[in-house]
Amino acid sequence: MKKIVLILLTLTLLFGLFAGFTACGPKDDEGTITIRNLYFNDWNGDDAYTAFLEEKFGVKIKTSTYSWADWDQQVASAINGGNVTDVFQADIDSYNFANSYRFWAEDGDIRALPSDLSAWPNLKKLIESVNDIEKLKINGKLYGIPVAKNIKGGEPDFTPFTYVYRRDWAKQYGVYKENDIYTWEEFNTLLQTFYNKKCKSGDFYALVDVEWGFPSVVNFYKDAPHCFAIDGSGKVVSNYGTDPYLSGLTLAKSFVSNKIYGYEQYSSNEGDANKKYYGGRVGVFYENLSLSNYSTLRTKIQEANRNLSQDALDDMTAIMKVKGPDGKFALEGQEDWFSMTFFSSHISDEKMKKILDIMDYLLSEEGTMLAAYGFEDYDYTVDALGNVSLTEAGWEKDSTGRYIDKYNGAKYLRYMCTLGYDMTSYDPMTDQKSYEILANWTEFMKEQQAAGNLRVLNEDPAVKWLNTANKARSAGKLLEDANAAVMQYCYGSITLDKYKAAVNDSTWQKVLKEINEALAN
Amino acid sequence: MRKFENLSYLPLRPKGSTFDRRIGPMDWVIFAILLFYAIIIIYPFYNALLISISPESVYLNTPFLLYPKEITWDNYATVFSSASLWSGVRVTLLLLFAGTAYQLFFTVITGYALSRNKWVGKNFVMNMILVTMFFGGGLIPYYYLIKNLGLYNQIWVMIIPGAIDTYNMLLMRNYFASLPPDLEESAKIDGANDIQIFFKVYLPMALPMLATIGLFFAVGNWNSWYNAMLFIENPSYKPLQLVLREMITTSSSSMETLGQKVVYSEGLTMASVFFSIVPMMMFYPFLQKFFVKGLVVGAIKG
Repeated sequence: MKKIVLILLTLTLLFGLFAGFTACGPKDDEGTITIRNLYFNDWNGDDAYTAFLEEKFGVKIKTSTYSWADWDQQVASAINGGNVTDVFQADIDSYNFANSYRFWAEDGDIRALPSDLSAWPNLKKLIESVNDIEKLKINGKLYGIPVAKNIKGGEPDFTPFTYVYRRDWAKQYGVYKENDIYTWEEFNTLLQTFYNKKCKSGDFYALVDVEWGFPSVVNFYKDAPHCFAIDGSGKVVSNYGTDPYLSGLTLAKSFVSNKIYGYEQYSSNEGDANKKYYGGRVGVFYENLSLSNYSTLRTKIQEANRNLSQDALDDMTAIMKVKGPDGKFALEGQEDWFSMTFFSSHISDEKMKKILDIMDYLLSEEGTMLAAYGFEDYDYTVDALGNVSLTEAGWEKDSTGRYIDKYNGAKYLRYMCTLGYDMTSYDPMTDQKSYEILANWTEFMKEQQAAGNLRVLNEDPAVKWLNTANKARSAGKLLEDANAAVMQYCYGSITLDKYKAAVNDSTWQKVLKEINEALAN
Repeated sequence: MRKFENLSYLPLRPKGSTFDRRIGPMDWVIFAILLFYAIIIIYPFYNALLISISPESVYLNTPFLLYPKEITWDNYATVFSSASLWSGVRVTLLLLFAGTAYQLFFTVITGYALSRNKWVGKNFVMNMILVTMFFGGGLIPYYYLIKNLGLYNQIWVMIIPGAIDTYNMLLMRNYFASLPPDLEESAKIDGANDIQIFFKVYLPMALPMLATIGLFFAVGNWNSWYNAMLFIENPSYKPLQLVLREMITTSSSSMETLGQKVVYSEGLTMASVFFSIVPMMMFYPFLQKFFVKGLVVGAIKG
């Protein structure tokens, strides 16, 4: 009897084990669209605006969100486990383009967009306006929607990775320059002055970079933003080993030695540098001054210094315009999109059409108004001149007079196609003063670019989107290791020879050889 | 007083000596080192508490907080009114009680079965379980398994796969094996069947081990988040630690959060951390005596 029970138990265990590997296939409920997105946060689709969209398009929308820290892993495990939602967002850039997006497309995990998008004019316009869109096509097909920063286009091709500084300190110590424009010498003088006057006594720092941005001063020397640069003979080389890069690195190391970079960048955690600046202990701070980051920075400084006047706040959060040793401003280049929205290969044509219908509507003028304000005549009214007024019923205010954010499904669903920079200027939730300062800075830099005074650091598109086996496999790791070597060299953990060896080792040589051969063909 | 009279041979301090004379210079050195370690261990908790009750202006302007300059309960008010955090607490409590009971049950009965002699295939089963300590199928096969068992986005995904913990099962097995076989024989002579022997003879004797392993499971369940991160999409099924993790990583990241209100994330984070660790810290001392005893017993016998 015991033997029979044992055999039955063993069979049950084995059955359970094999059952786990039996392909059941995903359920495809035609009436429900499942969407997973990074920007949904704690929105769960339970609001009047989502209900309106569901009724309008005859679908049920089921949402879930990725977490920032686990985004890549959540996407990778879902796609490799054959379990993605109908629509999902993934962080695609040139460094993971080949080993994720291309791989998914060729493996049949994601579905291509229809070749004719004329039924969705707003979506078509958005896709056509995106830079490098041809590079994102695989065998002539586009397998996802690049999430455009601004559907109206016109986004600059440079990042707002730059310096915010204490103009009040600069004025106090007599090193302030009009309009916050500094030559390289003036910038160095300012840093030295901050160090002499503030940092020698106490917990203050002349220059601090956000953790991922160290060492920012190299930007004024280097020719390319990341791994690959092109030398004088047109050959692709390691950017980290070029003479311009090494010149910048030497300066960065001297800044560390001379305590200009007094803050321990080597071991700081994400967010630590920001807190130093919020706390008034940093003279010049290198950060991604996107609207949300800059607005946060100003809010935090105001919170740390109660009863601060507007002028004083502006002086504590001024954006610096620094010309490099060559007399030009230097900023990293950027795409006009961030991440891509994909469609599971399991969805039907009908469902695909409905999703594209919803996207197209949300990109239309009517959909944009719904996303920005809500329902007309309830959340807002429009007068004869076209001016929008928000209603008290639709928009509550907090004790400081600021509008209280509310769940608006249209706004969240719009993140499938765009980050919504087109709405920023009139979004009730936008900090208008921060927006205005950043808009002025952007305009200034655009003018400098037009006049040839701005160097935008871009990777050559031919190299950037090149898909070769070793590059696809190693590029991300090379970048990571090279940045670690930079940090180690600046802080004296390794010698210059070891640094040079690290950024030109056998893996580098293999990848570079492959790239140069591919480009030669 | 009477009962101490018989212990007079113990090396207690001589009559008339003072406390100070008993403690030598080396004791003070050891005391200083231990105090230093204690401060290193306690300060992060203390600092977290200070940050959670300090307003943001104080936190930003004071890099090294030693005492509360100003007290605010706003962070705790926000935490206690957070729907997602309470939802996380509900899920974690379910994991704590249902998960721990489930894991204890399977781990203990497996350990007991494998400690008994003479049954066919015992070594095979034992080895099959042992293999899982050293080799895993990998993430993607596990993902497929979960998906095809219908556990994806189900709260049970955080409970069912963890039925047997091999290490704890071995502790239990060793403990049961260390008990005299005469107990089983005596019980059989008295007419008890196998189930009665287990529940009425062996299990009551294994209470220290049960408490120890129960505590391991409880702490593990209280802190669990990884399975939920991979397999849970529904926000109302996310356990407390995952909610906290997302709260912390999002607030300290450079993710674009256009139009959202800027919050005092560090204060909120620390208040949330306290909210999550205090229950476990309160629970621990009561089980500590079982914990140490059970661990030692399971480790050295067998």
